[in-house]
Amino acid sequence: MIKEHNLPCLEISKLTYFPDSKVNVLNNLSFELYKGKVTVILGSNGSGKTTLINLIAGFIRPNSGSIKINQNGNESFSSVVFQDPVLLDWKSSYDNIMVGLLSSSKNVGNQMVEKYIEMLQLDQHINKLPKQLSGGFKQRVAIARALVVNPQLLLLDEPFSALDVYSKEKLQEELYDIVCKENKSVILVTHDISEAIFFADNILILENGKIQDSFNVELPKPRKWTKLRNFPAFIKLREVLRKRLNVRRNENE
Amino acid sequence: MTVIRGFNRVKYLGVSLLILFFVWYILAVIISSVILPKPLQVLKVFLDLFLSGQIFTHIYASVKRNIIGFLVALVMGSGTAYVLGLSKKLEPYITPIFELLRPIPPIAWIPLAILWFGIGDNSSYFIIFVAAFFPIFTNVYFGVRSVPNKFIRLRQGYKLNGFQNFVHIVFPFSLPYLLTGCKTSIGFAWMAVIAAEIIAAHSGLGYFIEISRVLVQTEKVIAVMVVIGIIGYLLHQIVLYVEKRLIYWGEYD
Repeated sequence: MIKEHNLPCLEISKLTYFPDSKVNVLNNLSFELYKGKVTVILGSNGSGKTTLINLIAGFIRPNSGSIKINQNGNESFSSVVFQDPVLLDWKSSYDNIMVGLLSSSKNVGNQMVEKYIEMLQLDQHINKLPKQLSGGFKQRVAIARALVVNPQLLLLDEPFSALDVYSKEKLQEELYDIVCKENKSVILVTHDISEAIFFADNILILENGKIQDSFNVELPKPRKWTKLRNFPAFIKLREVLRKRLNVRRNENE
Repeated sequence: MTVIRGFNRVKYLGVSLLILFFVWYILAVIISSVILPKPLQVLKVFLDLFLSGQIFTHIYASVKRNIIGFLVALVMGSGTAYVLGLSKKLEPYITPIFELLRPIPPIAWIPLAILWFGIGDNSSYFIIFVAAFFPIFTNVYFGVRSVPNKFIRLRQGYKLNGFQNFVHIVFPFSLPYLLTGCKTSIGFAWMAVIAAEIIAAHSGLGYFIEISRVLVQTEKVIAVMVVIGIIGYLLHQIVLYVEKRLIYWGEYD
């Protein structure tokens, strides 16, 4: 147990990615992620956030550097929730969730599916097609599909950005509860400062392909928007981050 | 709303048929009735063909050829398109051959078909196959190549094997393209079967038209043309019906 806590589940070292010789999307990027921690990558559009997720998920290969994974036996390493829920239009919610388990054992899968259907309040929607679901419920199905594979690392690529404020905050709270209860390691990329603070144990500021700053977030858990919104440490950190990102933008201008 | 729409459709059909018969009648009066018989003469022959049962053997022969040729083209065309669409290695070698063959009109294959298969069913099957193959092949190939990047990421993320990828993603995604190909190819096949029968068969509606032409029975030629038009329309409607039933996630229901 001690060994597991001391060993990062993900070690990223000197990661560099340039799709062509003129553009450096990620430049010499290094950080570590520990079991059960949430690291938020905060940055503006085009800062390389999604590229980082694609590299960690193994969708693309880096030009140099390494991504070291310390994997537990029974868990799959990572699964991704994208900004677009990426549901298969021809499958019901239940079958879309089952897509996550196509390459694994069916018995384990059914128990996991039932569990997340309940946790994400999808009971009334399991037989519906994606076209019959609201944006919020589509994203719930996508999150359930990502969780049923029991990933050691959950990669979240701006999954709340297309939702209305009410659906967004509700889903954020529910997902955060699941992450805490199940001790999941999470990398969330976002450009939303409040969302970043809500989820984070640690915030990394990604600008011009480099991590420019790091902030530890020490806020009480479990986190609920009604309490957190007026919490002095939350307000203070939000102001610091706003100032920090604005300062950098002004410098660039 | 549906009743009003149905009433309007009947109204438009009635008016357009009246215009057609009026123009036809005027032309038949001006021109010799041997070259262009009057609408009522054709209607009488049309009814006689069905009442005497003379037309049914020819309808059966043509429809049977059309369906067999179409089904072979469906299997071969879609099969080839899926193999080439999914295989990056084969595609560059095979696709240029299809690009060269595609512009050759099915009628241009008739002499070769007679040389290879003689006069009869086999020649007709071959011509129908050639006519129906390319619309299906082209549409399915395009469908397979149009699978969005987000679904490719989904496949990578959940480690689906080739078979799972085909069954759960590629085939359902390309099904609307396949049915679009079927709609085009059933029409092409029907046109080709008539052309093939005029030249290379001893039965069928095309053969019946040719015999009527030789006997200078112009009213019979036109009556059979009407039958061909009605059957072509019905075949198209059957494919439309199948499409509406199969693509339940689309905009049809």
